[in-house]
Amino acid sequence: MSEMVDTIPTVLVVEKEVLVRVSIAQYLRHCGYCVMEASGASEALDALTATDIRIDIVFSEIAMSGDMDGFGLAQWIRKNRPAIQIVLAGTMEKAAKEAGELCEKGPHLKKPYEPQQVLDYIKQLLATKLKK
Amino acid sequence: MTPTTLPDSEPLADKAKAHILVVEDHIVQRFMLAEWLRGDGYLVLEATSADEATVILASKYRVDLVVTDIWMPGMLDGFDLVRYIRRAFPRLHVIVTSGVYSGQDLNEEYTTYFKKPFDLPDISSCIARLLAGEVKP
Repeated sequence: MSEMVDTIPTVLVVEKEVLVRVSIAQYLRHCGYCVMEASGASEALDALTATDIRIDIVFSEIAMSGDMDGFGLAQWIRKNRPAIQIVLAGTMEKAAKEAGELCEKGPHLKKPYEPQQVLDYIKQLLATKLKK
Repeated sequence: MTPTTLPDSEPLADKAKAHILVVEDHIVQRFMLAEWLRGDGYLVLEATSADEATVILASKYRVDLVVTDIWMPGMLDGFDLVRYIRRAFPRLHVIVTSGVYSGQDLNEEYTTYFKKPFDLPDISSCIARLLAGEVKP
């Protein structure tokens, strides 16, 4: 596995809502990225400070519970891991759009499906969750 | 290449041979196990807690087998998750992993205990046997 992690760009997706995070992460995997998932800044920092994990891009929501939000996480990365690209998305719509743009630059070059479909699916998932 | 359509009921499912939910609060351990299982051809969903796992299990995402840690932050721990699964999905295979618990109470057909630390090929073999319908290892 280490060989794969070395050759494919790794995206760390930071998102507290699990259904949103899973959907965005799966989309980026279908675009050819290796994807790590974190539920908040604290977990993201655990990954960013792990010596044996290479992370190329951090894809984070902005509003997060805990001591650090997306802006704080971005500041930490700029100071400590400046080579990492940061994508901040404040809304689900922005997250899907940004994921689509990452996808176009990703290993597979072509999007497997449109980010709007991911967004529609996330909305379906969340609507179903709210009904329960 | 034309973008493929995202099916309504099985989004993002594609050709994966089975869908596995990995529940583990330690991000590096979760990532290593999940990537290993993806390398085996499974579609792997990740939950950072038992609470998140119940959300995934109650959603439209398909899950064929769950691998869960026991001690995790949140409202529920791994034991609560197993109880939830037994009520809601009685025949869903669960592999419980722990470094401190010995699995002594897990005396039922669809729950398997796996001691941490474990070798990744060993858990792959266990998952393959469970999904193939073989008896508990």
